[in-house]
Amino acid sequence: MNGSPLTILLVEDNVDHAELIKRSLGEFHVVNRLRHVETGEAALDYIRGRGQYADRRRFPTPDLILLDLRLPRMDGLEVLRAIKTDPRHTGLPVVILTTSNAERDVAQAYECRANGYLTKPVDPQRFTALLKDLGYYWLASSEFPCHNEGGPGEPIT
Amino acid sequence: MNSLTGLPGSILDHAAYTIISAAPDGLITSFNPAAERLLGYSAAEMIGKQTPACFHDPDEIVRRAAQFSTELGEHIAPGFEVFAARARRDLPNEYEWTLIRKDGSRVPVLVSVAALRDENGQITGYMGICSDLTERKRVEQALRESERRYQTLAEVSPVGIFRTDAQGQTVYVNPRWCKIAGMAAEEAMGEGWAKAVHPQEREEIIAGWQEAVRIHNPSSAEYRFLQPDGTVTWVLGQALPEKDGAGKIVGYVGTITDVTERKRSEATLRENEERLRLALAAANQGLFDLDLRTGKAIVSPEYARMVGYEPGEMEFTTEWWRDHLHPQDRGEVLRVLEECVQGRRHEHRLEYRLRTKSGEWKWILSLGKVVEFGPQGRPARLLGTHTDISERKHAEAVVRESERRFRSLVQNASAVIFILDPQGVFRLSEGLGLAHLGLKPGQVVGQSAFALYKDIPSVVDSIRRALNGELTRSVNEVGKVVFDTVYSPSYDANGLVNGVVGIAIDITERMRAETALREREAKLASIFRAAPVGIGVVKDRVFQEVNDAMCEITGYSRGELLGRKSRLIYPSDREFDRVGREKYAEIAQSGTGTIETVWQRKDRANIQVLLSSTPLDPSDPGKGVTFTALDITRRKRSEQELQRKNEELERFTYTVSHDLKSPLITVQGFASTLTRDFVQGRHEHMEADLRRIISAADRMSELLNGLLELSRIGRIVNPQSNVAMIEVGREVLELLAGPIKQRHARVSVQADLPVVRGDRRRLVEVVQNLVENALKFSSNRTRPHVEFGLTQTEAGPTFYVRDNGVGINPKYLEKVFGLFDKLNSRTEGTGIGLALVRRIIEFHGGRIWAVSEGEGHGTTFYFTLPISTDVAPVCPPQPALTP
Repeated sequence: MNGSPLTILLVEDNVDHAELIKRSLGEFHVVNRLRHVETGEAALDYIRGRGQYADRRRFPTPDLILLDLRLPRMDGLEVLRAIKTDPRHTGLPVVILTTSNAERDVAQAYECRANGYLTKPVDPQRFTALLKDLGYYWLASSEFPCHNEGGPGEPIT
Repeated sequence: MNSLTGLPGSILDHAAYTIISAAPDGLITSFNPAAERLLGYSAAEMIGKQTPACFHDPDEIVRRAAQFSTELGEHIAPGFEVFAARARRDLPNEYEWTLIRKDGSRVPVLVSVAALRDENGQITGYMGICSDLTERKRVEQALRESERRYQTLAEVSPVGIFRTDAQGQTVYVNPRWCKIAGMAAEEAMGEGWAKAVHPQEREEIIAGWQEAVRIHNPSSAEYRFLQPDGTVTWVLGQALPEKDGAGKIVGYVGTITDVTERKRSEATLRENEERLRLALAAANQGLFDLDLRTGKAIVSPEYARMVGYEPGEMEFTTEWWRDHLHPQDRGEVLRVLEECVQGRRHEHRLEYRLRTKSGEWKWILSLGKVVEFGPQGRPARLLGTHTDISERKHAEAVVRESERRFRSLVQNASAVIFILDPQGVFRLSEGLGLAHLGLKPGQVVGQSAFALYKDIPSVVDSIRRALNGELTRSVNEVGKVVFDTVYSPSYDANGLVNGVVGIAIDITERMRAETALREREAKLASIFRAAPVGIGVVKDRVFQEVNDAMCEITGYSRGELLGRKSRLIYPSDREFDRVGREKYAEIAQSGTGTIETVWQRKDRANIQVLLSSTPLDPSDPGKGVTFTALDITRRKRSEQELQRKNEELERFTYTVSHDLKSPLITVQGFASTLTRDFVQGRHEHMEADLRRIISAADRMSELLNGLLELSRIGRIVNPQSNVAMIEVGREVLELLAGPIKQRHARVSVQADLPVVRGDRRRLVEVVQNLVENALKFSSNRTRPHVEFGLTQTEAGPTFYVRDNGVGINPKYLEKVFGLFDKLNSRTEGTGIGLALVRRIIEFHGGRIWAVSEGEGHGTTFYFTLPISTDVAPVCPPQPALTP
């Protein structure tokens, strides 16, 4: 993974929030490739390369998932559980994004083996520290041009 | 007399015989000295006197004259001729005469008179020679006397006497013999006697007699005579040979003795003996005959059996007996026996235990008496009886024990024992209980109970009844003491009541305890009856007792429950079995079983019950189980409700924290961006970002309004009224006329919808929201169709709003009612509508739920409301309304 571009999958139904996240990540040059989906179902399809996400050149396997908890229908915890109980993706780092830092949410997230937890609005410094914890030290310390193929903020669905 | 003179005078003088001679005419010519001595007359006095003279008895002369006249056939004159007639004829002329002496006494003599003749044969005189017969007569008389006496003796002898000749032929039997044999003397002669002998013995007796005679032996035999009248007489016959002076047997003399009485006694004795033996056996008595010198005993069969041996099985000795004595009795018993042996004691009476052959102990009553003594008066033989008194001993022990118990009972129960005479006067008054009355034992003796207790009618009445022979029992309060008294009539030997024996037991404490117990019982019973929990007793899971609450809980009456298997109140065999299994397992483990279960009321409604059971007897659950049943349906419902509310609250908080914060984050985020862009002079995003902020603020406002609306439900209450749902349907059609038209939808409302109780405005909101929702999610259809109607579901009459729209994944059917929950973030609306609807429905006591076959199959929302049964539908059935 070292040296290749890092792909982050953002799962967020609130378009405003998604925009804010894209901007802040872009501002701090920590993301070179960001993909965005709005529902849990879409997230799972993407990760598994199914349906419209079958083309891995356009939709590369994510290295990290930023997952909003409050999603319509299938919510964030369900998505997390699905990822972590799928043997092919157990090792995929998932960072929970949430508007509140309610204890219940944190506890449930870690119970479902979330790899990190970030409260909105996302503070780039805390995000960088989290990346370091996850072993993406090079990524956090390097500066990348703020561009990607899908384009930040561009909804996929 | 001349010739007589020729006899020498000396012969006459010295002759021992009296000789008197007379001339032929009878004049006495000589009278010799012997005559003088015999008669007391002198010769001189008598010579020349005419004979018969003064010394003859004239009567005798007359009798002889008559006799001789007869004998000689010619008249003999009663004078001298009496002497001379036979002499003259030379006939023997010797006769006994009685002469009379000069002193008047009489003397028997034998007189022989002969005629004196001369050469020519001429009678010259007569001479009489007399010999004194006095001595002979005396001997003869004595002999006759003796014979007479003997005869009389034989005649009157108590024994039968017989005499036979030498050949054994009977010659004499005495009257007694005849009486005993039942045969006349004549018949008995010769061998006639044998006919009187009892036929059974006759031949034997005859043969024995003949044999005795043959060998000249004395004989003796016991045999019977059978009299003609059937009387049987036992005799002992004995006979001895009778010998003459030369020793020759001349006959036999025998006796028969009547021994019938003896025989009878013997038989009686034998009978008595047998009777005694039987009596001994029956009385469980054994006899022993102990030889004190050898120590050996002869014992009766009963004696042997008493100690477990067959008669003859073993030899009983003092040694055996010593070995089999009970150790506790041995000392005393051996001491007494030793005293018997030493002769210091001739009788004993002992009770002791003997070990039997089988090893058990038997109580023996031993009575003994020394009956024979040896040299120096040493006791030689001890005779006695053994009686088995084990049962008596046992009975005695039982009586003693009963007495002991009774006594201790009386003492501990503080009883009073009293005896009254027929007048009701105390004759005895004892017992510890008297102290409770302030009396000393015996203090009231001599006083009348009637007088003492005249103020206590029950006592007086009881005594009176007891004196009339009735066993009476009554509880009387004397002073502050309560007595339970039994008055028992006592009787004299004639069976007449002679008083009353009474026992009074102080039951004050007991009464107090009983009263307390009764009160406690009553209290418990009232608790049991009125307790707000169901209480009851079951045995083998059959109701034995239930209280009022139990009836209330189950809806059954007591009568319907008692005696019925508790399966009655369970909805299924499975639940009934589960409760039985788990409850009893728990009881077995911890003594009490508590379990939550479901009962089915008589009205078929299921209720939640908390059931606790405890066996009446922990060691035996089969004796029954008492249980309490708490109807926790409401609690359960409340619990569920509370849990739901809590969850709702949590969801609400969660939702609020997320969803209300969400627009804030948007505002915050873009405001920061705007600030930065403004500072940096970058304007390309500013307008869009400002719009985002405004939009977020609007949304926030919407959410807050929704929340406010939601919180109003249940807080701000409009009055309940009868609401015709058909009206509600019409109103909704009017309100949504625009969107319906816009979407080209068809909305139908069932014509005969019922009237419900509720808040009309809210119910309109419900239907409006549901129809709106349906329209919203029917956009995929060119011709959306929404139905509002009534159907029947498991919840009863149920309203529904059905669409043919997108449908809902069954996974999210519940989620649609969540606050701010939207299945699609892009659809319009705040996600508060269905939460609001649910809240209204639930506030009305109804339920709401959604059903969908899945995405693309449309959705049906069902809800229940309290239907007014007393109000007919407002409108008659009409065709479905379609805008």
